[in-house]
Amino acid sequence: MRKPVLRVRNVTKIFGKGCRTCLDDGSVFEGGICPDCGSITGCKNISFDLFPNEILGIVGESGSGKSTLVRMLYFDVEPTKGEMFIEFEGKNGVSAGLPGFTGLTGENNIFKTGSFIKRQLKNFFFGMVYQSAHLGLNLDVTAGGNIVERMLMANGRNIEKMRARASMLLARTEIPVERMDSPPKNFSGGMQQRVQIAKAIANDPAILFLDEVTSGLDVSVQAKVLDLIRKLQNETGVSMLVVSHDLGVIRLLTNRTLVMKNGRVVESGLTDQILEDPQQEYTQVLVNSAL
Amino acid sequence: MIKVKDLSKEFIMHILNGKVIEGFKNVSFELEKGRAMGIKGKSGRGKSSILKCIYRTYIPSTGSIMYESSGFGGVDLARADDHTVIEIRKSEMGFITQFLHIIPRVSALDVVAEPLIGAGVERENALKKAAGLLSELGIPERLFDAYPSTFSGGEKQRINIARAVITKPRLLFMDEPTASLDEKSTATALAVLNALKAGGTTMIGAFHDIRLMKQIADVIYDLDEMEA
Ligand SMILES: Nc1ncnc2c1ncn2[C@@H]1O[C@H](COP(=O)(O)OP(=O)(O)O)[C@@H](O)[C@H]1O
Ligand SMILES: Nc1ncnc2c1ncn2[C@@H]1O[C@H](COP(=O)(O)OP(=O)(O)O)[C@@H](O)[C@H]1O
Ligand SMILES: [Mg+2]
Ligand SMILES: [Mg+2]
Ligand SMILES: [Zn+2]
Repeated sequence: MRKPVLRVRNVTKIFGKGCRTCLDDGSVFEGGICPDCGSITGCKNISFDLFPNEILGIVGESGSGKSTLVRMLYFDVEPTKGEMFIEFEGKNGVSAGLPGFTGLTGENNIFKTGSFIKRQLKNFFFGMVYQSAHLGLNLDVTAGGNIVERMLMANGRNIEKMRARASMLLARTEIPVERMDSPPKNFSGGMQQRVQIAKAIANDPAILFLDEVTSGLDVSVQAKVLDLIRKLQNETGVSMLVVSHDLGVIRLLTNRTLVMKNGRVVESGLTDQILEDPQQEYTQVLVNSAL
Repeated sequence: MIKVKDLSKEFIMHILNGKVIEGFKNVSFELEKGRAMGIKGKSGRGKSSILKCIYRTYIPSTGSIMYESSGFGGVDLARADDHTVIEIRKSEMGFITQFLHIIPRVSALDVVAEPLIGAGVERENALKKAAGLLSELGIPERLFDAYPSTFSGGEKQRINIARAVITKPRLLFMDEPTASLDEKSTATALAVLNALKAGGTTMIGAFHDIRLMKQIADVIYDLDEMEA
């Protein structure tokens, strides 16, 4: 049996100073606001494994903690507690040249490593596509420039080579090459998401996070971006964490799904099982209202 | 190869105040490798639910499903973890569903070749195999590059059959696989399925038509009889 590339254990995020009531693993509050200290629960006690080549879905209504979770994994948000382990033997240069870092052996809690290693992981190992393009792109810098910038962060040096690769990535994400030198602020929403995807895969990540990437788009544009994601996954075998409130997106892209509510995972299973035989009341409501 | 014991499925509908719907009750059977079993029963008796429980689209309520996997050894599919089920599905199982779960904007040829590519076969090769299989099932070549969402019911069903059998699975589930086929395409479909069976595939199928079921099944599991 293959081993997970990512193991997430008991990850919790409390926004605010927190107290014994809200830090207790068992407590759940409607709306997430702690009655004792007023802190807001983002995520509570989340654990899961992600396997190589796997596409894992995270579904749940707005405010259930999906974005908070992926942002913690991508080091945008610092967890209140919890652990993350990465086990990976491959190219992609993460462990190479990291002083004091023994490699991705699956033994160290990555949240406890230094900021340098986190930055390296962010640049080499992970990729992120946000719902809003302005979070993932500098909208005033050219599309090509955005991608080259990410390669520079991963120690890219040769400008000509990087530009050639940027152009290849834009072609792969179906952006007309003649738009390479225009800033994404002049692009449609669907094109901006494609540039974000091209940028996110610029350094061949092992894991890609996709947070509601099609949520703001027209249905027909949405379909094309989803096609692109399927195609890229098929070609590269990158593991993906696909966050969406839309069960259609989850059905199309994922093999396995976590269902979140009030910051917790209330149910997890094979995606077809979650859709056809949901066990929890919350999931049954979610599935039925999507029909 | 597969031994099902006291398998039952109840659906607990929390959204209907906890109403319990019975899928099927106390199903037990054993099937040897290379044999085919047909499940017979009136509509609503639980034929589809039995198949889906073994494939784990449904979580069984009671009972065990001991399966002799080539990759994992003996596995109780009723309790196996999700990743084991995903692996076994991918490398050992096929499922001809009653309706095609449309993958939008993917050509017929790609829909059929996809499981083979997923199993590690090189793309050109997989596409060639897919084309051969579609021809065998009587799909005209002009449809190979078209999207199955535009196909007739019978054409969709044959895409579905091709997609499920292309990997030559060890265990094949069939849910009314010929329901929307005319006489001629039913005959070709049965020929394809029987050839697969001759190659060693174990099969469990639900058929609405007993006459057809007898053309492929070695044993029949009769849900109506159990009820009586
Ligand atoms: N920076 C923040 N400060 C305070 N509360 C936040 C912050 N970010 C998110 N939250 C709260 O955390 C909860 C989960 O939010 P989020 O992760 O964005 O949910 P989702 O992505 O599922 O819609 C919500 O109650 C939200 O208001
Ligand atoms: N996903 C489901 N949720 C709730 N009830 C279901 C579900 N699937 C099947 N059932 C119920 O289980 C019973 C058996 O259905 P099914 O297995 O489809 O029978 P058959 O295939 O023999 O017609 C029916 O009463 C059906 O309504
Ligand atoms: Mg969100
Ligand atoms: Mg049925
Ligand atoms: Zn508190």
